[in-house]
Amino acid sequence: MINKLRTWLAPFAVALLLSVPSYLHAEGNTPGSVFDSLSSFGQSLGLGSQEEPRFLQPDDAFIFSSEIQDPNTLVARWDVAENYYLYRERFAFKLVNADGIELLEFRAPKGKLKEDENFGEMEVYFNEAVVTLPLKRANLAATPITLEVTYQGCAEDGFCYPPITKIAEFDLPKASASVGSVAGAAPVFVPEHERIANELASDGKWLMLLSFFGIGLLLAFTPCVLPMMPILSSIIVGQREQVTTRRAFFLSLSYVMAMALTYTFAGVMAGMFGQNLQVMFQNPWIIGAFSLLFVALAMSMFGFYELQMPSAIQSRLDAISRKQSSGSLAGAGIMGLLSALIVGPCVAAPLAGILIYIGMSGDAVFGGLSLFVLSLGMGAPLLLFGTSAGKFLPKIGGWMDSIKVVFGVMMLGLAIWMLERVAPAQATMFLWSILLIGTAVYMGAGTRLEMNASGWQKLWKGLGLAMLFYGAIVMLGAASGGRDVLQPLQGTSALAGANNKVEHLSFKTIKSLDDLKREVEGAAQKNQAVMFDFYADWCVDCKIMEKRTFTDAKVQQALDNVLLLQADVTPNDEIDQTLLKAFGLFGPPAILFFDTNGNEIKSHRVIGFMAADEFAAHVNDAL
Amino acid sequence: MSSPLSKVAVYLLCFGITLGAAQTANAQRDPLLNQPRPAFTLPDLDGIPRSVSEWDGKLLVINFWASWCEPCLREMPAFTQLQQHYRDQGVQFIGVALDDVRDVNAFLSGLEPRINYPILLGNGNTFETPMAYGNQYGILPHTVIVDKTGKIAYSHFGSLTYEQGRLLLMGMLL
Repeated sequence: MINKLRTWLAPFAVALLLSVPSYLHAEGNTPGSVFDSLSSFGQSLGLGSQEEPRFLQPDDAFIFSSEIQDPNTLVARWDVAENYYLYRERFAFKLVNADGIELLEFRAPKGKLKEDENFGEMEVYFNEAVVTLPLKRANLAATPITLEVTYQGCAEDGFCYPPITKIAEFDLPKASASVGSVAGAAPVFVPEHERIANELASDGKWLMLLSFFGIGLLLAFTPCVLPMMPILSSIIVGQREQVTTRRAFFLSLSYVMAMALTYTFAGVMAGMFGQNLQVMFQNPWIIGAFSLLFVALAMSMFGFYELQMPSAIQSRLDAISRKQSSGSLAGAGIMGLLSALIVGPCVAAPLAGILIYIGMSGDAVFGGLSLFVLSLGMGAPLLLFGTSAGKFLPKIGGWMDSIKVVFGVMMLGLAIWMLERVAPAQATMFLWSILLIGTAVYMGAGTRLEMNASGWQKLWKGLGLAMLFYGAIVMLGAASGGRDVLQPLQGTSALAGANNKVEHLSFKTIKSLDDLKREVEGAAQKNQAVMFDFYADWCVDCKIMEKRTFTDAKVQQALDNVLLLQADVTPNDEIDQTLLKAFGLFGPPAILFFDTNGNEIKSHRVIGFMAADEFAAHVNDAL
Repeated sequence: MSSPLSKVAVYLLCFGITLGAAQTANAQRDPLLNQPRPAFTLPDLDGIPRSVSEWDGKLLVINFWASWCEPCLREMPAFTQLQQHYRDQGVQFIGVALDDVRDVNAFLSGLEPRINYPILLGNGNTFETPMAYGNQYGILPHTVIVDKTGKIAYSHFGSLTYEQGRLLLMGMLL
């Protein structure tokens, strides 16, 4: 009997205590009366009413499911019971039976931050957790695979479940690529080098880098670089003794890499310098001035004048260079470093143009990378030539001048591209058409080919004719109200039917950080997700996205029911800067998403241009 | 009847009637209550096997925990204090860690004040012992009190505070 009494008394004592308000607070719940708390404690003891379980079974607390999203992506999903949560850190995924298929780092939206006394800030998921598992497939064939998923969670009431491991089996369909599109986007926490790689992949920047390599290669074939190569090569490798191919290769490589180093430095500097000048580039006068500068640079490529390092500096550098001992790696390296500084007349103008372009992008990392790739392009022929002892050098001739002119045309294009920010669209379209037609005429679109014209000449004329026609269409488009060079006829009333009416997304304009907070909170209350777009008149990517991406039906469908906010940071005043800084951004273009709880989905920030299809998929993935 | 103590006595009596009825009704749900405690032998942190019978005759508080379980870690300083305050009255805490020995040591070495009761290692990550004590799913923390006659007097899932523990022990020691 005494025992029985004790068993009763202990819970009462606790129940009594629980009725003291300060305790309730510590417990994290606020029952209204002594009886409430009594019954709740009774339940937790297993003594309470029978309808309410004291805790859920693990599989009811965290209802797990998984599926194949596409041949390169699996998705794991948990429905988490109310007041229960899963730890992001404790997710673990493993393929136990998968031939030639690997898991890449999983991706999950940002969870809530929970302050644990012992663990510090932990990222946790309430209600729902969705984890995307990108696959890397060396094996593209349809394959059965087994996934092992481990997760661990707790309840707000102060107890935890042990780590749970589930096995899921899939019949993976055959894939067309080894890595899916999901894998390319940037996960939330990744090392810096991976982040850069991811950014490159997602923004199509690889393509840009490839272009820089192409530009570098092209520069190597200009009349002031190519003819120098045999001389250069003999200086680098040295003539006194017979060198092995291997040695010749490394000597040339040393030269090229040192040259690349100098250029990379220049690229990084331009990018860093430009970071602080972003605002300056909104001023129409400055844009106009730069545009003129590009025209001037183009003129030098057409041979109106020559732009190069002052000859005094050139000859001094040359003197130092010649003091280096031929045939030594260090000597070749120093020569490479110096050669990058002795900027010849064909290289100076394009290089200046590229550095300005990078400065405007304000991206030091990408700037450095671009210049590095560019110098690799420039160095590639030298490497090939130096190693092969002159076997693969193309014939020197008049065609090199055409390459010089190509650069001139490119720079005129850049000049127009810059003007697009400030000049009316129709005016710049006219300029484009003039550039296209002018180039076409230069390429021989209007001249008759000789009977015995070579294949190259025919191809050249063909391209010229195509350019001539396109130029004409652009001019026609401009005359009839078109605004976009790539869709010149969109404005012509004769050709544009009612279906072509461009529908723009309707953004709600906000100004301050407080505005944003209010709108996002309001949306969260209505269980609405939010897309927040930073825009500025001087932001070209923003304009292109407005024109192309936001007008797309798929994008509009994806953004149905999403609150669209936009901040116009053209003035870049203090309020704008506060807003940008709140998200660690320097400036537009940037698009942020907030989930229905009002939390930013950082993993799905869009920085830079994204085309319609990709953007629609991205939005669907984010929300 | 004006002293605070007698007021408490009246409270306890009232609740005792209500809850006593509830407990009888739920006798089947908690089959372990009032049953002899299941026996187990587990190694302590020095690797020495310890049998639960070692603490027979004590008011034994068995706390199942793991280093990945934040609420478990939260309540341990309170248990250390309770152990110190009630040792003289025959109260003995033991912790059963359902965890890797390295994780256990790592956590305990950083704990302030240092733990003053034995920690045993549950068989790796298997939950045999807590399951024998009615913990079907391995939910942690799980605290079981065995009275001085060796019967299970109390079982609770979730963390406890110092005050809750104090009242429980006071009730048991009456």
